[in-house]
Amino acid sequence: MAIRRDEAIILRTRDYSESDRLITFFSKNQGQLTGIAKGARRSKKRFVHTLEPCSHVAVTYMDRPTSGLVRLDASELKNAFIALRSDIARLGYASLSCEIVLHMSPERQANAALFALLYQYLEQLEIGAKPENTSLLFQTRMLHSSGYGPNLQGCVLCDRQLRTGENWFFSILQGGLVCKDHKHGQQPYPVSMGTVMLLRQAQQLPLSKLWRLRFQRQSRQECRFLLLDLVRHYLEKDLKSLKLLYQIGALKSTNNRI
Amino acid sequence: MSIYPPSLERLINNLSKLPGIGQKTAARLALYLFRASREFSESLATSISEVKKEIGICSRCFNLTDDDLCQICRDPSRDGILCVVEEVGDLLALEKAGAFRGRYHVLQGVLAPLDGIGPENLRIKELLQRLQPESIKEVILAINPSAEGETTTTYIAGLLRKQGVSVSQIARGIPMGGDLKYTDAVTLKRAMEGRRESC
Repeated sequence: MAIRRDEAIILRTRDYSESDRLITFFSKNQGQLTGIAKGARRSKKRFVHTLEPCSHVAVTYMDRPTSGLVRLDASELKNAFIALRSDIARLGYASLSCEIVLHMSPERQANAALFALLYQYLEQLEIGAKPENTSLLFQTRMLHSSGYGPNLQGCVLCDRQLRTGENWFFSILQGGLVCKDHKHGQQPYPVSMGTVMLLRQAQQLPLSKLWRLRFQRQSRQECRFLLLDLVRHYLEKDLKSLKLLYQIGALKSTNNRI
Repeated sequence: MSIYPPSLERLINNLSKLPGIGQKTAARLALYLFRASREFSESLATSISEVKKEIGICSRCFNLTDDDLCQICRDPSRDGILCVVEEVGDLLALEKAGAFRGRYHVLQGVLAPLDGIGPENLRIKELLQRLQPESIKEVILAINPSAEGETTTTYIAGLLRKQGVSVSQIARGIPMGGDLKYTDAVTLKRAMEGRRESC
């Protein structure tokens, strides 16, 4: 048994029995963990206001090698990202990213780059960055840093190089670009060269410069469902946060393919 | 093989499904009921059956009721101020405190993106539909101050303001008997923002 102290972002909380809570968090040094916070629903002292989804906290927990669950002993709030609460769309997009990390990051696998990405993403939403643009950047980078990044070098079926072809398409099933000769039977998404270059930049740029990128109208429309459908294809399930985004009109479901 | 007779075993199993009741407590309660008088046991069974048969949801405010409208909605002395709460339990707490003498509206939850709960899953449309027929002049939002609760408050306040209704929300701050040095940063910030002139 080891007592650990780490920075973390709360991904999900669920009530457990009469007075406890199950907390899933993404920690900087241990990756995704789920812990039980004893008395969190009743105690007005130990965990008050610190175990809210999307909050950045310093957690102290007991890690038991025989158990999948850790025991949360204390939690100190570092940043509640309060501004997210005043805008339902921003909270919706913040929750969407937490849900993607929740389902796509394996348990107990440290990924400091992903922690930094998620933290900076929440920070960007907090300071008022455009939610959809920020979310698209997050999704591109998240997929890339998790090893699920789409192949954007050329046609994944015939190796035709990007510079030698026109009318490119994106295939969810192939996880990358396909040329016009191989688009059939792939449920292809048409993508412009500008969008491809933007996605490639979002994969490569240093994190500090990532948030400067802007998806213009056409790229935004092309990527809106492309990236989400790619995530849902890998997860083989839908994302609950999308329901709220559809309901408030932040996303239109007309082009929703999965 | 179970050590209890089948009927007692069934009772223990059913009791252990109640929140906060484990197998051991369920067995203790079942043995108590076995020893208790027949009148008590029958009265308990009848009460449970009656609650399931007779209690429903108020068609106007979504409080618990044994009629189409709840007692509060039927009371003509309740004025045109509406208090919006998350759950029936919150309504009961406010009523018990005697802190409010208007009408209520129970949302039946809060916006929770991670649980897939959006505006259409709450009783927000019904709230907006009540404003004109009941001549509501003011709405008090008494939603719990969690992240999701605060987002719900902001969202509903925006919708209500568009309807020309005066909107307020319950104060956030230090509880009675609380201690500043043990209070979390968010609550302290909210308490300072919500300060008022000393009387």
